[in-house]
Amino acid sequence: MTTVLVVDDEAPIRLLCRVNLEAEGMTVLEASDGDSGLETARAEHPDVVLLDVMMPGRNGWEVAEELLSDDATSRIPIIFLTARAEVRDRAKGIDLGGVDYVTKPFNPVELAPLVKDLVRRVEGGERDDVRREKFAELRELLERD
Amino acid sequence: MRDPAGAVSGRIFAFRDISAERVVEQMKSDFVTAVSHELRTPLTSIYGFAETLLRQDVLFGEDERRTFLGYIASESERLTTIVDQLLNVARLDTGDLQVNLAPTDVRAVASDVVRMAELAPGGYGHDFVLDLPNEPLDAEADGDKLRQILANLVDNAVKFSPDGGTVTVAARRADEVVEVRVEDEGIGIPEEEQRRIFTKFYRGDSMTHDSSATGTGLGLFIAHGLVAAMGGRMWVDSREGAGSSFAFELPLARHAALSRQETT
Repeated sequence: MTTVLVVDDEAPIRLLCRVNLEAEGMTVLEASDGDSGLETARAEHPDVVLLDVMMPGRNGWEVAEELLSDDATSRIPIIFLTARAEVRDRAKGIDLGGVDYVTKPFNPVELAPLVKDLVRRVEGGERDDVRREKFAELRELLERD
Repeated sequence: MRDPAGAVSGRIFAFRDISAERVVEQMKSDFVTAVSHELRTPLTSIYGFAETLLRQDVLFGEDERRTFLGYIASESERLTTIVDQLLNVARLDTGDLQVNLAPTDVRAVASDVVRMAELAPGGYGHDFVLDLPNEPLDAEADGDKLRQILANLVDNAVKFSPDGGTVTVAARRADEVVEVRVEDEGIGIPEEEQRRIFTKFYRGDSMTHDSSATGTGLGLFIAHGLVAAMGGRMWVDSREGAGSSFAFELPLARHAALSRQETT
């Protein structure tokens, strides 16, 4: 069973993720700020982290850097959940080592299929391919602008 | 410049310092990012819970449905507040802001605002202290606007002070004005920032240096403008690390001023 850690300072958004992921049989852990998110990730080793960017205290980018630089947590795929919609912000998330980003507002019903697909690909050794695809998508967006 | 024979005899260089414009441009850009974030966050809940309720493959219980609908309602209100804020700014800019002045009991408004803050979900355990006189304290003010100003100041006090800190809301009569104060035990505001704090788009350096900043940078600009529109003034006393005290004064209600004259 897939365990997802949702780190977001907004309680309704954590609940949204929880009900929709649990409906697809996933286990959901929650953290309401960066520090407790790091703590939970280290203690519980979830299969994937859904990580908000703008949070009080340690922000999502800082949390991602910590997770990715620690051997114990560096393999956990990170999906950024962000209200920062600019292409450069999304690129920063992937650049830091994230595997995907979801921009708010998003359809939470689509979250579980996305998580499932990413976890399957990352576990199948395709992490770098996934990130390359994201970069290509972003490049295309930039060129269109 | 050329001389009559057409040879170059001199050059004129014109320089203009555009650093101020650059700062304004940067503030505007930060503002758009902040507003976008502020709008997207409640929208995520509204859209998300609506989509969740529309799922046909999951049957939610009555309690869950009510929780989801409750979030849709409260986050819609949050969105409305932001839109109202933006409208207020536009009206302050054009001078079209209407205020309906009437004798308004400042004690009642202050008590209401503090009660709302105490009940607010997701609170951080702050203690609220109300320091109000026993006798009526009527200002010549627009009740809704006064509520908005106080709610903004109390919200800031909570946002910028440590969990469990004390927020004091005090009001008193001082000659022909009513003085209201909101004090916190927070991070305080450096002196050089105090002059800029009431300007549009301004957000504290401590916030803008990291991406966790929330808020549009309009709250104090609007509060300051609303106080001025009601014939009052607003200022701040603060020391870095030692909390802030935001104060404003409004004219005393005419009948209160008259009864004071009669008794003196």
